[in-house]
Amino acid sequence: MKNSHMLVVLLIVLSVAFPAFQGMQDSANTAPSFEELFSGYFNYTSMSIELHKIASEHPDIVRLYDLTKNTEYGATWMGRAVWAVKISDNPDMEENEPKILVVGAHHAREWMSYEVPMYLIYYLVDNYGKPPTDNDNDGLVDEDPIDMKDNDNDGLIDEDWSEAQATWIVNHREIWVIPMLNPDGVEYDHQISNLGVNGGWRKNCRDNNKNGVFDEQFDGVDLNRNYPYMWARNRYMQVISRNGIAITADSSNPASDTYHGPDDNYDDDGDALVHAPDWFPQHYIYDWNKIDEDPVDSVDNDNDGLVDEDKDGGFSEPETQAIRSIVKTLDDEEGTGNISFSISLSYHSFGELIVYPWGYTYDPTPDDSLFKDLGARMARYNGYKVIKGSDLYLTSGDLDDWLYGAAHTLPFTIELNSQEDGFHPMPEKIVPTCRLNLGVNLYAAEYADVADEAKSINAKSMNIPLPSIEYEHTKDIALCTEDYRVVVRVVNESLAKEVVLWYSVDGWRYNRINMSSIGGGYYEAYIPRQEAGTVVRYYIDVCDSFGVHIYSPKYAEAEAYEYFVDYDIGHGPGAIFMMAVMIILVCGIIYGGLIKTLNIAIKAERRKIDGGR
Amino acid sequence: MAEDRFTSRWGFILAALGAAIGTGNIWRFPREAAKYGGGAFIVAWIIALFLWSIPLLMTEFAIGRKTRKSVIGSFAEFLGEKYVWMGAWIVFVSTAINFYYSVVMGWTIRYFFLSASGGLYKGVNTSSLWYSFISTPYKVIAFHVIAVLLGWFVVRRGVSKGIELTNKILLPSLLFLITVAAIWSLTLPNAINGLKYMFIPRVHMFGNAEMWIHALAQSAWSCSAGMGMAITYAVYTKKREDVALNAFIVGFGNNSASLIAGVAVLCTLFGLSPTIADAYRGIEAGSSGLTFIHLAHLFSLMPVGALIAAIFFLSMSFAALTSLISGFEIAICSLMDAGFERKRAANYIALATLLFGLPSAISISVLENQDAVWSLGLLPSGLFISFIAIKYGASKFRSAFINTEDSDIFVGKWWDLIICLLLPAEFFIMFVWFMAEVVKTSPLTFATLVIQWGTVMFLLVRFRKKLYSIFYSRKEGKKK
Ligand SMILES: [Zn+2]
Repeated sequence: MKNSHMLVVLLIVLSVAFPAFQGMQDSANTAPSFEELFSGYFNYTSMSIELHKIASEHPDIVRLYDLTKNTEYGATWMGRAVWAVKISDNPDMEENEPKILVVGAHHAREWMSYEVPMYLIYYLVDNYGKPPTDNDNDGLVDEDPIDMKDNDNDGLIDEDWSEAQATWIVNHREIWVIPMLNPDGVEYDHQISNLGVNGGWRKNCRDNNKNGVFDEQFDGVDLNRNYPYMWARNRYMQVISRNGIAITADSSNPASDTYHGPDDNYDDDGDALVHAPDWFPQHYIYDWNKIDEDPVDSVDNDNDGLVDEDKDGGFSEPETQAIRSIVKTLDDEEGTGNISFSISLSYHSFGELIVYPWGYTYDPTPDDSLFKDLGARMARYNGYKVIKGSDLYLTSGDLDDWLYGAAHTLPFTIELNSQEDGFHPMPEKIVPTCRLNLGVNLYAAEYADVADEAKSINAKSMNIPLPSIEYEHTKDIALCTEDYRVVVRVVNESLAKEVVLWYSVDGWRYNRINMSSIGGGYYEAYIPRQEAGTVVRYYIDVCDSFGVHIYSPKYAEAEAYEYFVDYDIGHGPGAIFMMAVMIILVCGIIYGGLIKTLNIAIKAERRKIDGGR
Repeated sequence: MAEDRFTSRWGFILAALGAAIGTGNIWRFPREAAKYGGGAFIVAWIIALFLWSIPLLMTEFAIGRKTRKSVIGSFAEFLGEKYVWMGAWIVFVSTAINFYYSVVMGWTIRYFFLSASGGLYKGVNTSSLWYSFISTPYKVIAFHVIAVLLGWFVVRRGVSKGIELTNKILLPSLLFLITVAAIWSLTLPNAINGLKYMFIPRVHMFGNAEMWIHALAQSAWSCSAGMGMAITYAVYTKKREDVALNAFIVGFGNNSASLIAGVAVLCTLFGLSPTIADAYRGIEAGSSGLTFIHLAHLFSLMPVGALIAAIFFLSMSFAALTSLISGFEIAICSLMDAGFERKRAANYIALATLLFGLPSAISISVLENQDAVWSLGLLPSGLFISFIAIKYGASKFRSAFINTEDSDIFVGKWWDLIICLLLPAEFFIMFVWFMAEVVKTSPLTFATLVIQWGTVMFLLVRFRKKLYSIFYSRKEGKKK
């Protein structure tokens, strides 16, 4: 082959290779990969499949439950499941960790309200256990956390979130997410509604008129009127909704959009005097007959020493019973669960609001200013308006009133999106809305313990006195012959109950050392010497008497300080000397040998050439 | 046709050095040194140079110069038909290594272009960059093809105009480039940590068997001793070429390059990593992880990093190319013994590498498997070469083929001792050790190793008569 032919071959090859050159500058996408799933709305089926996938892929931190299994019906009216996802380390145990409840889709047409909880699930499992990552490839790590602010002034928002925060939340909190409380209604609304179009279905699919078929005109219960606390208190009250339409706040009419479900008609406490037949108009004999004589309102209506023991309505639906089955209430009513939630977030749409109790009365709760403050802190993330439920319009029997009244949780309802977006926002809105509210979820989870303490001491805000830690990790090498000394300063020392140092040599199991006070708020501890080559991770844990933990670094083991245990010879002037000696020795042998042998060869070659002459 | 030979001793030495200095000097030596005790490792590595690499190189040079035949032909001549399969094994192993080595060389070329075109900018995620690259077969194949073509272009031009000329240009350039990278790395703020980790002996490691094994293996693999390269290149030397001194020069030269590369890599790694622990993670990340993820990341942090990265990866490409062509030449020389004309032999071997390299280009796990299987194949190769001298009688071999009147230095009795006792012992220890390693870490790899080795050995032994007639007596017959 001629050289010109070879050139042609080379050119052909180069042109084949060119696409490879072109594609070389492929930088990683800054969006997490799971976001692809949020390009359109989930429905019940796709959501169920995804939830099972998540549960099977993350068995270490995820449990999936069908809560209707705990209800008297075993499924929704249409035979579906109400899925609840528990996310926490040691998911089979109920640990002494603050618990958060996130619920979506009480109302069928409010599609965005189940996307936001789904996004939270993905975010937590996707980031769990990841090392702090430079998600936007700018050389900085976690410089722009989830807070809807451009922390690093680069024009992008929240583009480099904190994996450590996600890991820490999973490790130190128990997150319960019920993304779609009302699957029957959602599925029905997906059949009848289109993107971008308002209207649609709100309630669940109870067959109110018992005619065996579901029809819009008569059927369905408004799940968010079906909780027993102050149930039906405001029935028939006309209110003007925020879009200017007069609606009934809470209705006893099964045809109404806000139908609160059937009367209880059941002698919950078993003290009825007469057991009238079913056809008897029981309503007229309730009080004297001791049926539904003590409704859920925190008052002993019948002066029998028991409070709220015979409800007059609510929890008639499998969906609301599903919630009841996990929540621990103050007086452990029948059918309730054993989880005391610190904060709950119930997603709805629309209105761009953060709503807190009460909904049934204009009176403020005793925690009104705490609610306002906590709401305002969450509003930092989504920019929504914080408002008391009844200031919006009166309701009764909603989730928040029950959770606050019966379980003393700090509940919030979040109305997603604006009126223009409506109930069925265009799919492009999904990811931005989910991201906008992700920070709300994370904040609620992260500060649940502080909120609990604030509530318990009747503080007016989240700004309660807590201990804090001043520590700077400076030494990233220790010698294998020395213990590693950690000295921290605890600010507000008097509030600290315990000052503990945790360290790990395998990055997984942590050993505890109680730090000892050396005066002036300073505490010290020694991490015992380790084998050379070990990487030791540690963090400091200060706990107040209520049980709020403050860590340094902020997310404890998820971003623990670390140091490397070096060979003892590695440092100091002796080591430098040793290094110099070795360099001279090694280079002497190798380069000396090379020069020496080359010299012999050069001389030999010269001799041979001379000889040749 | 005039005989195609190295035009001078220096041309031969440069070519042998080019073959010896490969990617292993740059991405393996520094990692192993820092991991296995710094100065302690280097001491063991220098000892291994004298007790394994140089004696073996001498044997190979002597064999090639004596027989003036390819590896297979040499085995036929020294050991006869019965053992000709050993030579074929050596050729097969170096060819099999070349099949994936060209893929590796493709990586280095890609990273040279990547860094030269600004692809390692500040903030790039080098980890996802690397994994997305190796999981995109068409890109890897494209660079594999480029690597094969470059090698093919050189070897088809013959020894003096191809191999010698290429090495005369590339080897000095490579040494210059890697020295520039080393000097730059020494200017980094924490460079001293790199020197510490490289040179301060962690004395307790002298008692660590693993360290000795790894030092021995590094020296064995790095000098290309036992690959058949030295036999092949020696074929193209003058009849009266020296053997012993050349082996020393190649050994020292190879280790000199390793030391410079060690400084460049370790001072960059320890100089730029935020903590020692981070640098240590680079050490633990394996050869490609260290080079293409950790070093690439560190380069991307510095303003001049892109330039240094380009220099670094270009020098790696050069190192890879000069080794790749020696692998080609081993096979070509054998094919030429079998009667093929050079260009045709070069075409065949390039095409074979192109095709049989594809699985390794497509799947990194195939490449890793091939690396595990065939780099261990070098151990028997080394033993087979020493077997020639042992069978011949070490003392006799030394006086007949090494200490000739053309010899510039005299090799003493120590050589007999090393060849007869030490080399087989070293082989045995390393062999058992690495086999146990493979069984422990991946029984599957061990199974594939046994199958691949077994198949190749069986076929070679089974068809030794054919091998003998094709690669040896055919030519002899012609002459007669
Ligand atoms: Zn709603």
